[in-house]
Amino acid sequence: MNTWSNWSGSLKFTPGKIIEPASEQELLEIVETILKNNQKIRMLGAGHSSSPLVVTDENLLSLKHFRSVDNIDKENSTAWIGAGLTVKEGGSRLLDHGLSFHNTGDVDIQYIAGAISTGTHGSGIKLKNLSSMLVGCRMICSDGHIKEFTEDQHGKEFFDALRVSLGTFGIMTQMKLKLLPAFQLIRKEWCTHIEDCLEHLVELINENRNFDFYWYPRNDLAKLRILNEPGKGLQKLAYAKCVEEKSGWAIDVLPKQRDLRFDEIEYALPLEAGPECFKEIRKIIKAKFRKIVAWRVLYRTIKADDFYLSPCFGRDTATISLHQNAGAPFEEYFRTIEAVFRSFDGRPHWGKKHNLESEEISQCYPRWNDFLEIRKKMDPRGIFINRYLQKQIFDL
Amino acid sequence: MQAIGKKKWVIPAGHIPLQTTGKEPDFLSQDRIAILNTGMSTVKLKLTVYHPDQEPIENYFFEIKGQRLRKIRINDLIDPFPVFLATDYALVIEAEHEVIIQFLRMNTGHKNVAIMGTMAYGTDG
Repeated sequence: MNTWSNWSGSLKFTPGKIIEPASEQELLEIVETILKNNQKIRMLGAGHSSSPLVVTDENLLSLKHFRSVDNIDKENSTAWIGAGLTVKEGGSRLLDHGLSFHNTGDVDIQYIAGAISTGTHGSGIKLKNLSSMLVGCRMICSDGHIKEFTEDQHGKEFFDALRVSLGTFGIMTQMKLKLLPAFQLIRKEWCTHIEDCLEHLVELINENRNFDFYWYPRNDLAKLRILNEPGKGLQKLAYAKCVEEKSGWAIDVLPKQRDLRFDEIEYALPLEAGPECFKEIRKIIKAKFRKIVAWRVLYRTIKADDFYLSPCFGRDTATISLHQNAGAPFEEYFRTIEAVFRSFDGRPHWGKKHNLESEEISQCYPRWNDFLEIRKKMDPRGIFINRYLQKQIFDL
Repeated sequence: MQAIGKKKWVIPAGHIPLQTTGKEPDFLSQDRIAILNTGMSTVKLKLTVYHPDQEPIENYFFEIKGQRLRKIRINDLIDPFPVFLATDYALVIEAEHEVIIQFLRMNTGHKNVAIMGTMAYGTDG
């Protein structure tokens, strides 16, 4: 048996079997056997997440061979893509057809399917998370049959539950995405003191297409990252020094290449609570965690959505994430700051470290029970959930 | 000008002070190295961090252009791993060509700024 490890190395387990089918037909046959033997199955993405969503001692499914890009509809800016495409490859191949994601996260190594299923996001107060792109899918359901779902045919309610469903409704093999015609962005990175950043925060968020900042706890400096279409957004910042500029197609300038591995906790807060929460965290890190915390704290914003388990459900959102070098101690640090996040009504990122359990996490989401009801209809026998989801998250 | 100095430098007494008073980064308690390259060409450097009770951490890489001075705060090193504050450490810096390296420590932990500087130990070994 091979031990599986996530990207940062903080999550390791030995699955019963790793399955890598080459086609939908092969996958259907595998699922038929799994159903016959009363087994469970979980989906594997790129392994960038560090929460135990993938952990299983039974069947672990990789869809890495499902990398199609089909049914391009340029008029409506939609396409069907395979569930095994990474953000990087998917973005690049869509660009060949003149289409683009509206946003990406900070890195592009994740599978698009994984990013969608966990409510992963970029930054930009007028931009929703990546899950918002999902308008259809082909899915192997708990009865072993493949079905096609579209928002037009199956309704907004179903899709609001499906979009952030942590792989618990079935195995999505292909996804229909709502995209944008390909567009260019100019990326500028500015360096300034954190206090100057905070003083201008509202303007930075509202006047730019994409804005986020990193705060560096060991020197109190901030890196502001601003992306706009040519000629739009804030052009000059009197209080900051431009240290990097790049322009090109959105998919080439939105994410950045990162080799340094880290563990991460992220919470989504009501937009208006973001600055006060950040100030509190800054104070605690300086007072208690300076010795071991060397890297950075990331602050982003996202537009509200209606997706039942989306951390941005019903409210414009600020997210704050702590990045700690892989291998450095993080438990006490993350747990302490997590209490601060919770005191500001924070909701954890599904794919990152957190310590919430069902009773508390269910209170974060007004449509929690509606989600559970639809999940049960989709998978009454719990084939697509692991022990972590069953016990710690859903309390089934 | 010809490159002067040594290719290998050692700083055994690293220890970044934990406390800082005053606005950062200007008054940040820190360990810092200053590297002078008097030669004409860019020099690549590799830094290794040693600890009293764990294996060395290698592969911190830097460059310094010809006829330039570069200062590096040890507090800011994060790739491949940070140097923790209030922890003893030592540095070995290996350069492609001769450079001169000085070590500085600023401690603002007790409100009065204290600055100490010393030449690193240069060696051809």
